[in-house]
Amino acid sequence: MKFSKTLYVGVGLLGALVLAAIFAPLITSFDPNEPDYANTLLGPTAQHWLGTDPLGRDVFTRLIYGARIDLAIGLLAVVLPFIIGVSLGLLTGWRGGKTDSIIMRLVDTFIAFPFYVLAIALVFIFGPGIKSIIIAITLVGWVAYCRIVRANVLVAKEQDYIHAARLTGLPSSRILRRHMLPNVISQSIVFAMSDIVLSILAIVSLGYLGLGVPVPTAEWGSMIQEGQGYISQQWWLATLPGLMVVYVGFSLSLIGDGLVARLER
Amino acid sequence: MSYLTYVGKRLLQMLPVLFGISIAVFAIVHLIPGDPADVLLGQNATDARVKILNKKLGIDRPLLVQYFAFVWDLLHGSLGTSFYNRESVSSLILGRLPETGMLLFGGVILSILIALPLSILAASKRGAFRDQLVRAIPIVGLGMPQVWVGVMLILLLGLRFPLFPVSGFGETFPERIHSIFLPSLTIAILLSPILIRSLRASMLEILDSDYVLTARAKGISTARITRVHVLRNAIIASVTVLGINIAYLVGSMVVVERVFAISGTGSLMIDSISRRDYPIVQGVTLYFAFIVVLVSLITDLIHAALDPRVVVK
Amino acid sequence: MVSRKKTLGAFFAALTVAATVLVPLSANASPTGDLIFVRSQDFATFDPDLAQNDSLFIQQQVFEGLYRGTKDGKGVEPWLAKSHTTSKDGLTWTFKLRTDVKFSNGSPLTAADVKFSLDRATAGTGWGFINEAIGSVEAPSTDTVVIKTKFQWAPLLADLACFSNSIMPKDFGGKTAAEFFKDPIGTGAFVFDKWTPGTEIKLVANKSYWQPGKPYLNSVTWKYVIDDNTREFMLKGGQADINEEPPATNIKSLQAAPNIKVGIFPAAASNYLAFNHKVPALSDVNVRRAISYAVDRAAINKVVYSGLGTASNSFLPPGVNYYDKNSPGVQFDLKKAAAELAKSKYKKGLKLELLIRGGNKAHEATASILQASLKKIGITMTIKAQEPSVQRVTQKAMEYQMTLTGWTMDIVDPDQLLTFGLTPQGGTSAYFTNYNNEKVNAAVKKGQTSVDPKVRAAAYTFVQKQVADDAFMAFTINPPYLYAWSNKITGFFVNPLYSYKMEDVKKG
Repeated sequence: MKFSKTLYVGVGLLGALVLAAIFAPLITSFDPNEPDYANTLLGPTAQHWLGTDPLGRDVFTRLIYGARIDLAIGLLAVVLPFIIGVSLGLLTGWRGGKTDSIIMRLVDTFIAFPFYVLAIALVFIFGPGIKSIIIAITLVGWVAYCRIVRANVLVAKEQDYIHAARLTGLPSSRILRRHMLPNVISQSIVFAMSDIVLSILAIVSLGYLGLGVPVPTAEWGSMIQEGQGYISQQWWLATLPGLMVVYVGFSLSLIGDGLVARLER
Repeated sequence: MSYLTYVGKRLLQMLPVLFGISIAVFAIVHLIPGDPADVLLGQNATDARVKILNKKLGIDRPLLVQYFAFVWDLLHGSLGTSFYNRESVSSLILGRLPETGMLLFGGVILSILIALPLSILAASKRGAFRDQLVRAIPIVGLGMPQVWVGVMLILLLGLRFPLFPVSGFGETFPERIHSIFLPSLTIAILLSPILIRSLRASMLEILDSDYVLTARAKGISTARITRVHVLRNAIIASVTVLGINIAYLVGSMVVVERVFAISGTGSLMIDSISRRDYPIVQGVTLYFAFIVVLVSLITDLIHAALDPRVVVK
Repeated sequence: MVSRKKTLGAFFAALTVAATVLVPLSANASPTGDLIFVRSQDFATFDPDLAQNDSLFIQQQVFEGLYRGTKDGKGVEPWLAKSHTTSKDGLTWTFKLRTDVKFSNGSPLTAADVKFSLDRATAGTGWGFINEAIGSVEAPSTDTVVIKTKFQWAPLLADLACFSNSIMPKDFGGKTAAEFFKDPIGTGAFVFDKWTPGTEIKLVANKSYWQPGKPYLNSVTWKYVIDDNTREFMLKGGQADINEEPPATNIKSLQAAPNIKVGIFPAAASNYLAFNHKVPALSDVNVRRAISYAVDRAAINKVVYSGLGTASNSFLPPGVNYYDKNSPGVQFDLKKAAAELAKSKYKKGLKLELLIRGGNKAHEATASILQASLKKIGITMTIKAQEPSVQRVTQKAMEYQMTLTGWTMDIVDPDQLLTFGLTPQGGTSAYFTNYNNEKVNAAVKKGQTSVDPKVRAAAYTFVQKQVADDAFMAFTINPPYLYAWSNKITGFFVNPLYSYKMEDVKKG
């Protein structure tokens, strides 16, 4: 099994963050929620590598602890939609006909429902926090994977090697699993990588609308929100958490490219 | 079946979708805690006043009755009346159409303008430095939250170098184009990385494909290949990807509208949810849904018409 | 590939051309004579009975009252009324009206209009309670109004200066209330022009305004812009003239800007941490006192108000008549907090929930600070955020344990707040806390019904001390009113009763 260098680098970068998040107390001695009113809004110092926030809490610490929540959100919000969406996409693209019509109408219904109405409604119903946003993203997110996979299946279906496989009498499930899946899944994987980032960004946006993870939990979205008020003078408070999202996005895109390269033989 | 029949069939299939959405939004909106009359009256709410207002707004009727009234209005072309200021929902939405329309349009156009040349650049030489660069830089655009991007654009291009107005929409058409640039750019910064990935991937696929190899072997110049084959397929791919992401686009407008103080349908929706103005929430949701379904339909039809590999069954 | 280079080249050329064409269009600062406010709340209604902070500033440019608050907020001055006399028993007040006042439609102000407006206000279910003492209003002649009170009522003039007693035309000029408030007629310096809900409301100068030469402005517009940074940038960029209530954290940045003036106006306003006395732990005065001692007011002041507020010592804010600056209140002292908690049956620890408004940065920061402090005395405080409209409903229904709330004084007399906030008459179960202290109620009534300042002072001093000792709420910070405006604006002033008059303001 030969994996590309890109994949290794991506996994390395992301892995480093995941490990840092898990072993946070070993990396930083500060409590992410303990205020220190004498040392508010500091720039980088020897003690506080990335400075402190308006309540005097160490920014580096909060970024690392925040990773726990945001990475969890990103992952949880994509795993289920991916599985559901890819399965349905395979099914509907392959079967066509009535199954296709029904599922595609379902897709159209879910895709057209404004995500924010759903997310906000769920936040009002369940209260602000991770639960609402994961449910909202799952309900709405599977659709993209279904569409992408279906489109690829429709094209791949007409290819010679599929025709050949059918002619040899292989059962559909086997064709789908062994021949179709590896060839249609690459676009979904690429999309999943950006989808994880989009999910993290969704909770940042909900935070902006006042519906994000409640205070004082360290989470990149709420850190950006708190930092917005200081953007003219301590601009790094709002910028650093965003850079963490970029970091995650970057490592994920490397992983995505690596996986795709592997799948394309 | 013929293409025309396919179109007709798809148009008909829009109806159950919209119907499903109307049920979904009606249900969701009524699940939200908080009595509209209570919220509307605010500090002046007393039990008696709330009861009277509830009756006036019609929300004391059983849910099924309310839903049928809603559908009845819909069939007569009306989206209902706002609880808040008694104006017709359709007129409220239409009033904000210029803002929303220009923002959507601007975002899409700028995304394509940014993504297309960059994708061509990247795909032209796979793995080269410029390819790596084109793929790396947009990651920043994808990762930085729109709130931050919007505020930074205002700070840099609205205040420090006053090239664009800080917010608002403007009166005359040139003023509006001027005001909509930064917000559209904010949307494009989020959308183009997604577009670039897909475009680049499909362009590479084309360039590797048999008929391009054949064309090259025949001696057709690379420039012509790009123009005829790659670009054409790129547009098909763009259209599909944008179609998929239209929902994200519509959603991201909510944040952008707030940052740039544009009174579009996104902010109408958010404010109405806070006020429990059910008719507006239902109306705007259906309106958004209609746009998304329509765009999705159009992209599917274009895809089916243009892509020779897809067979319409 | 040649075409690729060409595409890129064309793309960048197009950008440059666009930029060159569009740059000159950037100079779209707001024109002289037209003043633009930016604010984070949307206008709601012109009905004085339903007015909240979101609407009353705008109402006050269109309507006026018989009296109005003085600049220092400590008294009232005659306005639409010229003068008044009181009968010997203090129960009959006779007012003489100005004879040169016209409504914006040209019709002269008469006593009949005053009677109509005051009767309506008294019957109002919103703010009607502040007119409780009024027995009858008569208009014996076109320029005389006679008010008979049910008991001696010192705050009458202050009440008449309240926005809820704005003077409107008799019978709304023949329209229904709903029609009238869509296009109101008042005696104020400005007239309603246009309201686009969710965007802005515009008033234009009243050509028949009774003060000669005023207003100086052609129009005033209040634009609804939720994002704090956008409002600040609009002010700095010249697209707005006055930023209403910028967050305290932006003040330093605004003060540093060369073309911006910042106003830190003393305010008769308070912030409170409210306790629901129905919760068993919070019905114990020792627990409430413990929490009150544990509020780190200095930290809240620093983080939330950039040090611009003052730690609160009383239920009444400074600046209000009969505010007792010597009332010690309860100040930050963790040792005393622990001692109080030890007296209760919760000395081993306690779990409580604080309800806040989601997205409200002041609430969020205060909650974080409270959580950290309470942890130190063994109280685990969880934070529940609800969106603002739901939070208000929850608070009113008293389904919360602790919540953050506040008050801005509308009249200079303490009676409005004390009645509303402490007594059953206020109809709010003591500001939704379920507090009910008979001695306090009696003292409030005494202050209400005496005209002797010494009696009132004694009563109100007692009330302030008692409610502080009872810690029915924890008093946190008294904030200032913050405004920032372009240095082209002169004459803008906000008095401690949270009212500003635009007829004195000039631009340019």
